[in-house]
Amino acid sequence: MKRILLPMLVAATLSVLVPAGVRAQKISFDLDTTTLAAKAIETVEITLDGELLRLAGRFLATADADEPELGRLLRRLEGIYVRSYTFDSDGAYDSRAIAAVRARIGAGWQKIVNVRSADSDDVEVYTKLAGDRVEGVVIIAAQPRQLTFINIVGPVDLAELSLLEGQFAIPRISKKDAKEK
Amino acid sequence: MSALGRALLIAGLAGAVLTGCRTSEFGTLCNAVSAQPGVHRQYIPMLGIARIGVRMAHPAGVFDFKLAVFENGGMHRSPAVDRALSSIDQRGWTPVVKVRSADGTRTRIWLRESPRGMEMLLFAHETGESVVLQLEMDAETLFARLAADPAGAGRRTLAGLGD
Repeated sequence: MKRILLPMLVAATLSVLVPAGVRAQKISFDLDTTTLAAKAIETVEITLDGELLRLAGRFLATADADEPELGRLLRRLEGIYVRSYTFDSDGAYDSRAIAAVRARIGAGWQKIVNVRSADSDDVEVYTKLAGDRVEGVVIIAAQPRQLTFINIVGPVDLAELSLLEGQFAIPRISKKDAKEK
Repeated sequence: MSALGRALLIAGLAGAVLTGCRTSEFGTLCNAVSAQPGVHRQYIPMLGIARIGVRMAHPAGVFDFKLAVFENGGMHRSPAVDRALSSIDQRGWTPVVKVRSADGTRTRIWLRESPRGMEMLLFAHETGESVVLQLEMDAETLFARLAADPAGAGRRTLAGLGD
């Protein structure tokens, strides 16, 4: 957990150095879904945005909800997009699919986390900054048999990202016993 | 009958006819699936009574539901069903979940707001069986289930009705 959150917090602190006015963008993952989906034994696409996301936040933030913090976070967000591909053998997907998504992450985004683990559970976290605020997050989680792209649009405190783990098909990333390179 | 009375009667009849002709999204999906060769809708005993019970007791936060289960005879992808699925997006429903598996299993979930909470429309297709489910339920319960298990939210809620 610390391995991922600590760099995130450092990056958030440093973010005041980044020019203001940078707007969050939705990164489209449509590019390689056909190729990946063709090889995957299961493809999961979650799209939660607009009024639906605000509604989810409102209802999950009620006093008797199990996770009011999650609800408060959702109310601030503009979109959560998850594309997850599961394969039946190790290394069944082409790593160029990851490169294609990386290529879509353009100017204004910063890579703040790059975890490479011995068992090939790799995680990359990119943030889009607007002044001192994080306005968007892209997470690429690559495991031997699963590839997940997550795009979170809207103001988010990086420390809150753990609230989303295990929700809306977002994998539990921070609990992995990963080694940073 | 006065002219005004006749006009009101005609307007009322026209409204009733138009309302009856408008196919719901649930109906659109059911029609598309049942029109496929070799597909038969399964009779579910006591479904009507169960629905009345749900409307009265609201188990698992559900206010109402419609359910259709089809024996699909191993039907795979059908353009007509794909068109019906695509048409739902343009009819006030927001697509939230899409799951596809290599074995042909598919799940689609749409949501929309309703006066009492939220409505969920689910289409699930697997070898041998297709399911169309529409639920109107408490929004807090729905979102909690959707967050915990997006693809399984509909079926888990349906299973919870029997508890």
